Amino acid sequence: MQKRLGLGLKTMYKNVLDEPLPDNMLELLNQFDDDCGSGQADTADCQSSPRKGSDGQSGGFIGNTDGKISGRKHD
Amino acid sequence: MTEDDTKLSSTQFKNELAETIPHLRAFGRSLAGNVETADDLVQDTLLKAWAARDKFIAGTSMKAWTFVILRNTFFSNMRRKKFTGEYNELAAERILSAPAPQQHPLHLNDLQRALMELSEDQREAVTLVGAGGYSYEDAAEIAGCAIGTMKSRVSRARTALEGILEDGRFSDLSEAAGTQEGTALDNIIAAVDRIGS
Repeated sequence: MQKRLGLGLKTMYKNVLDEPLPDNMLELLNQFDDDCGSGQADTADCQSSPRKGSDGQSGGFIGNTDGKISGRKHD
Repeated sequence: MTEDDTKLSSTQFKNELAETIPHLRAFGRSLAGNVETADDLVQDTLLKAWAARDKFIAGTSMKAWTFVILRNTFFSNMRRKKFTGEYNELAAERILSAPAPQQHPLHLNDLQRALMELSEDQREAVTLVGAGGYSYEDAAEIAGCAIGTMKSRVSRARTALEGILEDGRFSDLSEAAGTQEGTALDNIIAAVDRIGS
């Protein structure tokens, strides 16, 4: 059961990765430019900073609670 | 190191952000259990990430950074009862059935439904580690908890999922959400009402 569960979780996740992106999401990205966005969204949820993992994909954080970012580069 | 070394250009930031979108959708889907709610979460996350782009450090993980924004947004919304995790059968049927040789296949709609039976913390943990392939350490940092706590959450989540899937017993909440007709908004309001009552 553990194997099936693991496979099922991974398949479920991967199936979403394989879906085409919704048009409205791409349109949103295309609307981003240097003059838009800053200050318009509530950034209170951006409380941590990532570091890149050894695989270049996974990451971790130097967490903090003051809302500032304090990331470090991975060597 | 100069400040310029730690900053991405807008184009670079946008490109890295775009690459994370499928992962954000997958993580959001598992947390929210619903396509529409998850995609709303992703859009909120993209807006917040863009607004906070000056805080992102070049060379660090955009994926992990945006995962934190998404999960913080999700839990903030949960606290405000803006929405709650819910199972959506139509969406789940699109991702049906993971093959398992010589065994009955594990139907992914059942798995998605069982995920919604877990607490949000456990659902997040098993999604990050079991589905997303994060290490316990990285998942703990995303979730803002100790590694031991993350291990415990994943273990309890797996045990609970096994029990639910083997017994096939789902709670009234997921049963109702899974069979309920109507719009996503109707489902959300109904779920909030159930929690509030």
